[in-house]
Amino acid sequence: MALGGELRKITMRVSRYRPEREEGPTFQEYEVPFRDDWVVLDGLNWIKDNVDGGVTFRWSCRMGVCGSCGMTVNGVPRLTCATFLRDYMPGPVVVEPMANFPVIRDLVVDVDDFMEKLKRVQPWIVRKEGEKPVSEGEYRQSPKQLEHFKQFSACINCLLCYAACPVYGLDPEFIGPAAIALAHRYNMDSRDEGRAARLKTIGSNAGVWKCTFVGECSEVCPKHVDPAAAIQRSKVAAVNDWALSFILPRGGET
Amino acid sequence: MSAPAIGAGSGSRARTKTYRKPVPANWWLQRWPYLRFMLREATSIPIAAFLVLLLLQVARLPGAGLLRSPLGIAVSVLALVAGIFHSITWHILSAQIFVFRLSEDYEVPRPVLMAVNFGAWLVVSAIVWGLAW
Repeated sequence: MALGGELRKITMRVSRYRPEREEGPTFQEYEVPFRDDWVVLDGLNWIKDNVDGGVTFRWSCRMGVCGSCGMTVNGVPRLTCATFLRDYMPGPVVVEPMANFPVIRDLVVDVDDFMEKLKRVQPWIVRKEGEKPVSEGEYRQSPKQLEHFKQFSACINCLLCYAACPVYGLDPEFIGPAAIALAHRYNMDSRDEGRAARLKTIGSNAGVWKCTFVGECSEVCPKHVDPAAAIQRSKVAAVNDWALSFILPRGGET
Repeated sequence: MSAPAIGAGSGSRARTKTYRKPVPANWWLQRWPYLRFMLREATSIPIAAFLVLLLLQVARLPGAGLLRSPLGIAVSVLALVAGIFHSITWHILSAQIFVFRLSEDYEVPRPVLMAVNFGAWLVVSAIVWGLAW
């Protein structure tokens, strides 16, 4: 680590939870030397390499793409690979696991609940007649049609939005921001025909109507997906579908 | 989730136990965005109080004075402040919700939607003000 300017020191207060010997999490403090270009994840890796090999956390790409290193930094859900230690001088930097998820160990949380919800919204292209054979070619789409949903396809499943959502924290039944944003992404896709099927999930009691539009999901999203907008737009679409079901033949089902 | 629940993970993999941090009752005081949200929700209280007062006043007609009493004025001022705060946040948020595509090529940008919202609000307020005067 020769680059990156002067060496400085900061205290990192790291949440530890070792289920084999603790009933709940405790904090452990580490003095971490860092340079200007160090992010919180670099600090954690320095601790793991030099002080305490037992500190457990997830990470992979270090460049805001993989969505693995989400944690709570000084109370705010952040990707730790995109959160600079220098911004927290003079310290301390408090690093905790993402809120609203069960903690498995230290900074690692159990995201199975999200994975199950993600499957329920069918985040793939649904064709009513089944997919046509490859020999018939692809389903074509213009760049303008792509623009309708491109923003919502940028989700990296980092789950910072769930950590920021007080509704999900208070009621884990809520399908939640990322899953609904991805449902909306496929609903807006010109090649898709699964909107009615998805409405059964996102229009259910656990779906969009639980959202009270706190809006923090969109604020913490590192990819500017804007799940809050996706949820509110899904509400509008659900109301439209409901109203149209009274005046269209067969309840609007095509 | 009133108490720290320690139990098996929700997944299929076998685990010793997981820790679920309880959401504290004062979660909405811990960060400004949450407090701002709660304030937005709470604006309904002074506005409801004003409407109750208004109904009581109507019930007492032609007897007057309820809305001009110190309590009436206090509630009215509070309701006005709450109404303005709610309207501002509403006009900002509704611009986030609605998508207006004037053509395949042009989607009205969010700041323009917001400006239209606020402009319409001012015009309607001016008309109401003119009628009331």
